[in-house]
Amino acid sequence: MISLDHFEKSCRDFVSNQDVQLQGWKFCVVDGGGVYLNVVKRCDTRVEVNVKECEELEFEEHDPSAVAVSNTSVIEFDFHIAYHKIFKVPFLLLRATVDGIQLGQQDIIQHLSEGKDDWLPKELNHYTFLTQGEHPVLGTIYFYLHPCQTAELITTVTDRDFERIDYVAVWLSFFGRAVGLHVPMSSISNKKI
Amino acid sequence: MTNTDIIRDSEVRRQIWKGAIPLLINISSHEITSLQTPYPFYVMIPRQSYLPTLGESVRNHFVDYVSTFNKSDLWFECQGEVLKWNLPVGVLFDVHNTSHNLPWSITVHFNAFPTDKIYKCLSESDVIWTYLNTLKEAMYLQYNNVNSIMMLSKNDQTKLWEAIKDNKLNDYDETKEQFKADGTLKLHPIRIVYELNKEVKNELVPLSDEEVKAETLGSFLQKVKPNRDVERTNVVVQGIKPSLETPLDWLIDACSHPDQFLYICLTNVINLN
Repeated sequence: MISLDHFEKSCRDFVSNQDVQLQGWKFCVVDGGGVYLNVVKRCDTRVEVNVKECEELEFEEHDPSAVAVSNTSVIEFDFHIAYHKIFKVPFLLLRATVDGIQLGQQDIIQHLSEGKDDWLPKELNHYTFLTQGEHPVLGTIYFYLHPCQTAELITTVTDRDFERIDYVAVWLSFFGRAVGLHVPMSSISNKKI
Repeated sequence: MTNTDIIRDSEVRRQIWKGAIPLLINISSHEITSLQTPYPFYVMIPRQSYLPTLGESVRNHFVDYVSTFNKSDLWFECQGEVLKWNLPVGVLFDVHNTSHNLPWSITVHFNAFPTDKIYKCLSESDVIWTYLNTLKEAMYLQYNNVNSIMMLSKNDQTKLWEAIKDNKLNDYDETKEQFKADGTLKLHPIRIVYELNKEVKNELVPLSDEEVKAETLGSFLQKVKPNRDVERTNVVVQGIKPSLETPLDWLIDACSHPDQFLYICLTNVINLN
């Protein structure tokens, strides 16, 4: 578990890294309190969920000048990292839209897991993966990866004082993988783990 | 506390669990596409239950009168405000129905789902998971650990849910034994629910056991809402207007919801300058 102050500091450290900035991460501060990290990823995909190109979700910057081919659509993933007041850890929130229409839980999971046979267990209970909830800063509804066991997991990888590690970067290196977000190695300083 | 007091307290809890709300559900008039106007839908719903449990029967009642029909697009509204179904019905009633009229009149919509304000509810499992997640949050505040919920068998989860839906306090208490956590209680899960700018806010105010034992409802509200005139604000817990002298720990024992949170609803909030 980390404190809100440490979360905020850790977020600022994370986005101060040049490679992180290149990925499009932004640190957002909302009037009246509340901070979060945000990155928007876009990729073209065929309407019939042929998402081979984005199965690893290594997105290319969307080129607004590119003409959309009739049988492709743009999936836009809106990822946020916010602080969970109860579990006292960062948690990952996301939304996905295709041509402006919001995707539901099943569709998001399908898009994320397409082509990854061994990525999710066959009998996946989708609720244990993605949950609906209120964005703690924006107050609007997002899907999120449930943070109830995050603190336990982080304890298994480091016995260092949490205040002294790049918490957000270390945490994202675990949780980001599930949704195709990769953490630049340069954002985690080895000596600090 | 004497034995009689303890018996009387459990009786309060029993009475609260018996509480139900008569609902009158109308469909929004501009969504009716048939020539006939449908009759309103009347139903009693337990205070501890959740609005989407009515989804199927409300849908069946109005199905012939609307054209577009998307299963997930059903949502409820009261006087222009979206009802956040993730809160127990009793809490919604206490914070929205300030005129205290019965039956409580609400409107169902099948179009224009307010995606930003409430979760989609495609099936009853969405409600069950939302409930279990809230329960997990409460357990985490209490014991810093949610393993006992994670280990709850599918059968017990179903039994727990049926108990809430059908007002069966004994079944609820039996299942609760299954997920009782060990260790000392760290924080009491308390939420203050109130309306601000036509939207219901649901503020988390956890309190340590020591603090809870030292506070009355009034002193607690004074502390967390110093800019409010607590004496003149309408304070409602489980449909009851408790005295501000009520000890907070008693209120938690007797009036907490099945998700283990104590919801304190404030209406007619008077702000002090």
